[in-house]
Amino acid sequence: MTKLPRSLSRPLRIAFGLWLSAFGNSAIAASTEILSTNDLSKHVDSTYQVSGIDPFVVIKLEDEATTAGNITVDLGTEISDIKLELFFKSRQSIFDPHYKASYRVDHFPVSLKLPTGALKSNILRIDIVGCPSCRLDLSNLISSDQSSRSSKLLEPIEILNGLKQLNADGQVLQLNDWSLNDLGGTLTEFEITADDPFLVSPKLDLSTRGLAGVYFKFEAPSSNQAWDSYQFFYQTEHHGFSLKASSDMRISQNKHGQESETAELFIPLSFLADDFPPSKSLKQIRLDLPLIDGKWALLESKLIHDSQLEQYLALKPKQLVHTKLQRATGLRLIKKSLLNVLADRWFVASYLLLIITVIIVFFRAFRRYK
Amino acid sequence: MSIESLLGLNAFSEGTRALPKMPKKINNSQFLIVALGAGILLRLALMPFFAHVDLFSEARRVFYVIENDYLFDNSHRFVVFYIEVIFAAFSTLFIDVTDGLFHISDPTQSVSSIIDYGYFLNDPNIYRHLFFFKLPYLVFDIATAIVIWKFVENPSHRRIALLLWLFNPLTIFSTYIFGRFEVISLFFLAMTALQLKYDRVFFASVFFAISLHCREINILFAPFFLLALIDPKDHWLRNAIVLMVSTTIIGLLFLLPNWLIDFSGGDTQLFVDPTASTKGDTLNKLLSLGYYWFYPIVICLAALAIYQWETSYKPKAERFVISASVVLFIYFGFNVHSVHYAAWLVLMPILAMQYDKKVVLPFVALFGVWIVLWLLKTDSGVFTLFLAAPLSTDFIGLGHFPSFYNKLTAGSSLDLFQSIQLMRSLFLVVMGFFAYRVLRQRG
Repeated sequence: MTKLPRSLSRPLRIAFGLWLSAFGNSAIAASTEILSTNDLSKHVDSTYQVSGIDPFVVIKLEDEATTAGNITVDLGTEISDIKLELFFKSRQSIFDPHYKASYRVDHFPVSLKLPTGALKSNILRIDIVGCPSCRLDLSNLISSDQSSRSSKLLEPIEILNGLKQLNADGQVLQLNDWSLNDLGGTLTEFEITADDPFLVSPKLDLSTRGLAGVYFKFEAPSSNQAWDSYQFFYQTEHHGFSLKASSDMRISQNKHGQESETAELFIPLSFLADDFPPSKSLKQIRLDLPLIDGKWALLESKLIHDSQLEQYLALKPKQLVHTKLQRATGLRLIKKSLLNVLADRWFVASYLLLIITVIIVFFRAFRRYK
Repeated sequence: MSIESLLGLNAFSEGTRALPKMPKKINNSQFLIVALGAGILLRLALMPFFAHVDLFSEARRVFYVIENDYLFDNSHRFVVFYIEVIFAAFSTLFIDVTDGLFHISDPTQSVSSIIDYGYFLNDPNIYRHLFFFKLPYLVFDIATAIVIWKFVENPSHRRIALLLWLFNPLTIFSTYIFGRFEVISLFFLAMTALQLKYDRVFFASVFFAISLHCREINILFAPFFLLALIDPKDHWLRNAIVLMVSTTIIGLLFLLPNWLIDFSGGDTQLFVDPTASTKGDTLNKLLSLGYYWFYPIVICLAALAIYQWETSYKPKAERFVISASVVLFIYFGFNVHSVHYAAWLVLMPILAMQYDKKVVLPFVALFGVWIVLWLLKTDSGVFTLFLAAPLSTDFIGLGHFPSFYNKLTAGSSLDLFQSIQLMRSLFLVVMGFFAYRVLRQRG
C-alpha cells in the first residue's frame, strides 16, 4: 500500500482524531514508543519494577497526542497517592527542569490536563514520585482515549513553564506564604521557640538574570551583643539549602536602649549568574535568625532588580561573607579583587594621591642635589 | 620640613663628593633619595593588598585596648604595642570601626578565629585597615634604612647596605605581606649599634632596653651587648662602673612597665592565656632537652662569648654587631620557627659591612634557601606562590604549594618531608657561610 506523504498524512490524522473526539468514539489508543527508562527494571512479563530513587520513563508520543489539551496516563498499577511530573521541554535528551507540570494522582488511568501550548515536541518524560515499590505496566501508558470525557480532567498542582524573569521593579514576596521553623506565632509577630530558628520563602523559581539581591525589613528585639549573626541560604538548580552556598552576616545592634529596632537588610546575589558554574534559577531562600528572645516581625521582603541596586546597596551589611560552591581563581580572582579595591573610591583616590606626592617630593629632592 | 632635613643629608660631608671607583653619574645623596623613593613606592604598593591572620589578631588587641580604655594595661611588647595603638587611633579618623569588626569576646585568645578573619577579609574597608596597620612599620623601616646609611661609612659599602635593606625579600615579606612588626625591634637595635659606634653607652643602653620591649629574642644579645662595653684599655673600675650603670638602665627600663602597670592597678595579664603552660614548665622542658636545639645553641653562644672576649681590642660597635649577627646565625642554624622571623637576620650582617665584611653572597644564598624552604614548609595561606595573601591558594588553582609538590613528587625519594630536611640543612650551611664571612679577619 502506498503511504501518504507526511505533509498530507498529519493533517488527515489530526482531522480524524478530532472527528473521533467530536463523535465520542472510544478506545483509540495512540501507540507510544518508550525511548528510555531510569531506575525501572523490566521483568520477563514486560512489567517494570521501581528500582531506584529517580524512576522515570521517556516516551515519544504520536503526533495527534501533542495537539490535544490532555493525555490519559495508565501505569497499570494500584496506587493510593503518588505524584506524577511531566517534563515537556528537552534538548538533546536533556530535559529542562524549568518546564514541567506536577499532578497528584490517586488512581489509573487518569486524564491529565496539559499546560496550554506545552507539548511543542512529542518527547515527554514522566517521573513517578512517591512510589518506591510500585510494579508498573507500561503497555498502555499513554492514550488519547476520550471515553472518559465525562470524568474530570486532573489539573496540575504546579506548572513551571520556564523561569520567571524579574522585572525592573523587583518582586515583592508575599508574607503569607512563608514557613517558620522553631518560631512561634505569625510572620508579623513571632518569637523564637527553639535553637534553630529560620524563615523559608515560598517557591520562587526565578531567573537569576537581572537579580541583584534580596531585601528584608524586619523588627528584631535588641540584644546586648556587639553584633548578631544572621545566615542566609538560597536554593538554585545546583543545590538545596547548603552551608557551601550561603551568606553569613553580622549586624551591629543599636545602642539606644530600645526594646526592639527595625532593621533593613540587603543581601547581594548578583554573583549567582556570574558564578562558576553559573546558576540560572533561584528556587527558594531562607533566613536564619540569631537566638534573641523577644518579639520579631518580618515586615517586608523583596527581590531586587539590577536597576534598583543603587537604592539598596547602602543596606548591604558591612560584615558579610559569602560561601560559594567554587571560589574564583586566576584572572577571575584578579578581576574580582580589582573591583573590590575600586569600590572604596575614597581610598583609591587618597592612595593614588599619596603615591603621586611621594614621586613628586623625591623627584624634586633628587633634582636639588644634582 | 624638607625631605633632605628629614633624611639628614646636610650632615653628610661626603654627600655631594664624587666617589672613587663608582659611576659618577649619581652622587651619594641622589642615590639615597632614589633608593628611598623606590623603596617607599614598593612598600606602598604592597601595604594595602596583603593580609594575614596574625596582623588582624594584633589589630584586634590594639582596638580592644582603645575601645575599652585599657591604655595602662598589657606590658607585653609594650613599645611595639603603643606605637601600634597610636597609629590605630589615628586611623579611626579615616575608618569607622564601631561595627564590631575588631570585637574580641575573649582577649586571652591571641589568634583570631578563621570566621572572624573571614569577616575582616570581606570588609569593604580592608584596604584602609591594612594600610594604616602597616604605616608604623613603614616609618620604622625607612628610619632603619637611614640609620644604616649613617652607620656604614664606606661610600660603596653603604650603597650596597642600603639596597640590601630596602629591597631584600625577607624584610619586605615579613613587614608588608605577612604584616609583622619586626622592623620596629630592628630599628632600636640599629640605634643601639649607632650609639655604640659613637661611644654613647647611656643612649645605647636605653635603646637596647627599648628593643627588649619589642621582641623577646633580643634578650639573647644582652650578654654580648654588655661584653662589648668592656674596653681593655680602660681601668677595670671604669669598666665595672660602665657595666653596672648599663645593666641598671637596661634592668630598670625592662622592669619599669610592669611596675608602673602594677602600681596603677592595671592588668598585666590582659592578653595572657591562663591555660597556657607556666614559665616553670617551659624552663623544665627547655633544660630537659624538650627543645632539641637548646644545648647546641648554648655551647655555640658560649664559644661566641669567648671569641668576643678575645677580640676586645676591637671597637665596641663592631664587637656588638658581629656578635649579634653570629648569635642569630647560631639560633637559625638549629631552628627556623615561623617564616617572618628570618627578618631578624637581615640587620646585623648589613651593619657588619661597615667593618669590611663581605656579606652579599651569603645574603643571596639566604634569600634563595629561605624562599624554597618556606615554599615547602608552610600551611595554607601563610607562604605560597602568592605569599601570605588569602588569594594564594586560589590564584594558581593548584592548592597550596606543599600539597602541589607532594602530588608532583609522589613515589619519589625526594618527597616533601625529605625536601624540607634538605632545605633545613642548607639553611644551616648558609648560616655557617654567613658566620665565616662576618668572623673572617681581613687584611
